[in-house]
This record gives sequence, structure tokens and C-alpha cells, in this order.
Amino acid sequence: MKWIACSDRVDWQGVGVDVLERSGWCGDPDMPDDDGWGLIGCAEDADPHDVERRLRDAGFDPGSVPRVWLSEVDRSDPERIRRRTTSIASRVAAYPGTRPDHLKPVMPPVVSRRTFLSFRTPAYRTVPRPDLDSCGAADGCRACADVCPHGALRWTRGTIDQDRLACQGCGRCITACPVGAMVNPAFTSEAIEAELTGLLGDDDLVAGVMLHCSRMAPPPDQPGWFRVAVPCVGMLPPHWILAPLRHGAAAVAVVPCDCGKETDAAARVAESVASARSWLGAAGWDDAVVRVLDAPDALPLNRSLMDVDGSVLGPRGAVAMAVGLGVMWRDDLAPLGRVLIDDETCTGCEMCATVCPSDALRSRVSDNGLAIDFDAALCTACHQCLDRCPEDGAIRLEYIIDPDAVVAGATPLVAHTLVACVKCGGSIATEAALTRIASSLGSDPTILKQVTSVCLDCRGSTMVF
Amino acid sequence: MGDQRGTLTGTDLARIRQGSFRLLAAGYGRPSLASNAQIESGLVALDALGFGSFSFAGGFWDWGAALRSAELGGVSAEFVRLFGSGLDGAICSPVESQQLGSNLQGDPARHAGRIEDLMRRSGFSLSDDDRPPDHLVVELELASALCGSEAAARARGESGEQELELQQEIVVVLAMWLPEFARRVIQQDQSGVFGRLAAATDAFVQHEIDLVRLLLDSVPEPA
Repeated sequence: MKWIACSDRVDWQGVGVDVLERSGWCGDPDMPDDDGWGLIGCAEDADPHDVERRLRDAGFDPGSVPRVWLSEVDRSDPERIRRRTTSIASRVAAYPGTRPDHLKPVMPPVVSRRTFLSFRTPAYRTVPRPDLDSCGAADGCRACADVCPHGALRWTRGTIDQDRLACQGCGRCITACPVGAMVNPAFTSEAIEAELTGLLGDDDLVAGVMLHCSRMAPPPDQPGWFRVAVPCVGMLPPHWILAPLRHGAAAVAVVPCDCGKETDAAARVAESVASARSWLGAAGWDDAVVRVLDAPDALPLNRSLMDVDGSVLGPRGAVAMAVGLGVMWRDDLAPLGRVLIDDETCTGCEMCATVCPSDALRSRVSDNGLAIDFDAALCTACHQCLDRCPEDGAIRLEYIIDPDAVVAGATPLVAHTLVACVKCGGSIATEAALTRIASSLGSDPTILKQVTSVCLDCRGSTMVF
Repeated sequence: MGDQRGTLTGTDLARIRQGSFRLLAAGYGRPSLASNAQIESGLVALDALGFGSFSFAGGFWDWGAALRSAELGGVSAEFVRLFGSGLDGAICSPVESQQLGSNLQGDPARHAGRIEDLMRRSGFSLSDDDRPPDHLVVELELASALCGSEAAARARGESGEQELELQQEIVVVLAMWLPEFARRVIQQDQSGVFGRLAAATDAFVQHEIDLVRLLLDSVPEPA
């Protein structure tokens, strides 16, 4: 990777980054001629909006061009500069590209009629969109729409409609999606983890990571700490907060969000930080309070050692963290769950299995029987099953991390007997469902007999008396 | 026209959009050397206006590059194969009422009637060719004309609000059927040209849906 770099505040001799130096670049940034270049400017001088505009004008997708804005803290340490450039290059290498429906134009507010007569070229924010191949909306899942605080997402007849302009990019839909179908190309789990790996490496560096909101100016840089932007810190579930520790950060600080776009963001962050500490504490980390912080502070003397395999930010990230920490933990913010079904109340309608977007709940038909199986490794506690179950009290959801259950695989929760059609022998419904229907239909024996003795296919051609 | 820091007048913004719609409409016309040259010079003119800074510009460049490198005979044959020579037999009919197919709400004539009504209210009329009012070329050209009206209004010092509201109507209509049409064209195109044209059209209409709303929101309250 080669970089076009401003040389006004940095002496690039000996830094160890392959740069093409440009004096005054921040004031009048020239763009690369082809792919394979990154841009380095000074945080105090560069205009990121102008650089983005110039990149588009030059035919680039700005998301595909690594851009590093060096703070004074960065410039004081060549090692920091190397790590920042490596990490941003890695993050951009994981960039999947954007579709037109990912881009929301943002125009500066008009304050006067005079201003109205001229505009700055729009800036663009990437917003999340569902990946239609993995989205469970067609089966009734609306986990993303349920959590959107701005009404930008709406479940409509099996699809998720999005109002791009209403979307404020808070990212809550991303972490709420049980299958990782909600994707913001600028903040994929792969990209964020690539940045963490690039910053922290696998050497002896003892450094902290500040997670901060991307929608406002980054917090002041501090020696020993690296800043990593997420859509908004209000989106962070406990395992995302712990992710930097898994990559070797000595500590992680979640910088409070002052962007003001969601009034409950501060409370959510405080709860999530507390939950992350609680989880670590339950796993035997007696220094959890100095590893998970709500503001950058003095760093512990050593890197975190967390034995977790695989990605912790992807849809199966919570499972990886659960298995790695290896402790049972109950908390309202636990990112995994355990479903319990009351076999007295459940009618075997299969609505829970139909709607479950991650296939944690699955129906299984065997000889004259229907079972609902549950796999704790796939349950993200999205509560779509709870929301769609038509029978009050049939389903309970516990927010719990149970590593033993996670590795146990699918287990049956409830089993029902299927009633056979008197004509064709096929299944009508479960006995419990037919009993439920009978109680709703009242006492007309003819209708009852018809509904409970023949299947749908045969009902039109067969009368049962 | 835009200065170094990316500032545009409202008039220039309207002209960029007018030109973009016009160019896309030309792309769905029967290919010829003259139309290709017109498209090429249109892209150059838009670039000079500062069009390149917008997110949809990349799609236009890709389309232009494909058109430049494609062989005219092959493109012409593909045009007929995809869009047909009439209403029947087109793989990807560029007519709104044809595209909506099984989702059609009521009489197909309602779609054409809606466009005719919009034309009447905005002071335009259908030209004397074989295209129905809900043909893609007609809808794109109407959108272009409305942007032109907006540019003229802004040049007179007006807000262009009335014109923006009319634009919003046509863009909402386009956004209703264009994405699926574009998807089919991209899937079916064998020339490399029309798939890129469809992608550029989809990207531009998606952008317009948002931009027109933003521009309407930016109209100041009367003093």
C-alpha cells in the first residue's frame, strides 16, 4: 500500500510507511491516479467531506480508499502511525462496496434564503440495508424494525421497508439482527475486526481501544489508546464491547455519545458497559473494572488474554465469546438466550419455528409426531418467537449464556401427536391444536367433526358425520 | 461551475439533474451513432457542471465506458431483444404498466393517465411518437423537463418549490417500478451496455428520491 501523505506536520523519514510526500496537501488534496493508494492528512487541517467529494469526482468509491487523519498524538510516535495506516488499510480491504440504496445524501442545513441559493455537494452516509438472501422478514422476523428508534424500518408484508432519510445510522438494527443480514458497508464486523487486528497486532504492545460514535467528532486522542469508530456506541451489546480485549487490548473504553440523536443512548451505554464487566467478572476476571471502562484511564500493565476463537462481532460472535469465556451468566443484556416451551399451552402451530430467523427453533416431523427442537448455539434472544406465538404463556425466553447448552446441539423442547386424516391418512394438525380449535368453535358437532377429522386437501370433497 | 470546495448554486444542481434524466432517457432510445455521440457529449457537459461529486456518477461513467467500447450493431440487436419493437414480446418492457404485471392495481390505463395528468399540471404534453405516457423514456424526459423548470424558477430567484413537488410525484412513480425493471435488465443484458444503463438509472432514481425530499425540506418558510 502506498500513501499520498501531507508532509507539513510529519517528518516521514524513518517512519517506515511508503509515502509520496505532499506539502500543503490538506489544503488542496490531490487524488491518486489509480487504485492501491491511501491518503494521509492532518486531523486539524484536512476537510474529510472535501476529500470524499474529490475522490468521487476522480471516479473512486470513497469507501475503497484508505484515509488516515493523524492527530498530534499519532504524529509523536512513528509506531502509532504505522499501526494506524496498517489498520485502516486492513479495514478498507474488508470493505464490500456499497449499493445505491446504502447511501443517504446529507446536505448542510439552510439557515437563510441566501444560503438556500447555493448548496455544498451532498456528503453521503452509508446506512444499513438488509441482505435479502439471509433476511428473515419473509418469515415474519422484524427484529430490526422493533429496535429502530427513528421509525426508519418497517416490516411490510414480508419485507423490510427503509426510509433512508429517517435513518440516523445508529446501528442498533445491525446488532439486533439475529443472522447478520443488516449490513452497513462502512461498518461490517469483518472491517472493524480487521482494524482491531491491525492496531493491536499479536506482539507485546499494551494499548487500549476507545470505541466511539462515528456521527460526531472523535474524542481527543490519548497516548496509549487507539480510537475505533462504530456507528454509535448505543448499539453495542456486551460482546462487542469485549471484542477489543479478545484482540489483545489492555482495556476498552466506551466513550459516551453526545450526538443527541437518541435520547436513551447514554443509559444504554452505561447498562452495556456494566453488563460487559459483569460477564467478565463472572468468568473470573477480577480486574474487569479496569479492563472495561466508560472513559479512557490508566492502562493495565499487560494485554488481555482471552481464549476466544473466531469472530466475536459477526452473527455467531456471541457464541464464540460464550464458549471462550466458558461461564454461565444471566443478564438482561445477555446476547444469547434459552427458549422454554410449556407443553400444556403450546399447540404445535410451528409459528415459533417458522419465524425464528436463525433456525434456533426448528420443527421436526416424525411418525405421527411433531417436535419443536431448540439449539442454544443459534439463539440470539431476538424474541421473535415470543412476539409471534399466538398462545399466551406458551413460550418463555431466558437471557442466559450457557456454554454447556451452546455446545450440546439441538434438543427437543416439546412433542405433539399429529392427528391423521380419516380419508387420506395425512396429517391434519396436532392434537393440541385441534383441541384448541374445538374450544374456539363452540359445540356444533358437524363443523367440529369436519375440521378435526379431515385434512385441508380432503375437506372440500369429504363430509364426515 | 462548482467551485473548488464543492459548492453549487441551486440552478446548477437542477441543471445537473435535468441533464442526468435527459441522458438516461436518450440511453433507452434506439441506438445510433448520433445518439451515442449525444450521450458522450452529454457526459462531458455534466462533468463540467460538477456532476462527478455525486454518488450516482460512477454508474454513468461505467455506462459511458461500456457504450464507447461496444459494437453498434450488437447493441442495436440487443436493444430490440430486450426492449422490443412494440409493446408485445419484450423481455424487459420499458413500460410501467407492463412491468408492474401481477402487482397491477386496477386498469393499466390508470398508470398512463397519471402521467398524462402530471404533464398537464406541469404544462407539458406528450410528443407525437408511438410511446405510451408510462413509457420509461417519457417518464425520464418528463422528470428532466421538470428539473429544467426548477432551474428556470431558481434563475428567477424563486424557490422552485412547486417544481420540486411535481418532481417528487414523478420520482415516486419511477421508484415504484424501476428497481425491478433494472434488476431484470441487468440479469438479461448480453451487451454489457444496457445492464450498466439500468444500474445507473436505478442509482440515480434512488438518489433523487432522497434529494428531492431534502431540497423540499430546505425551502425556507415565507417571511
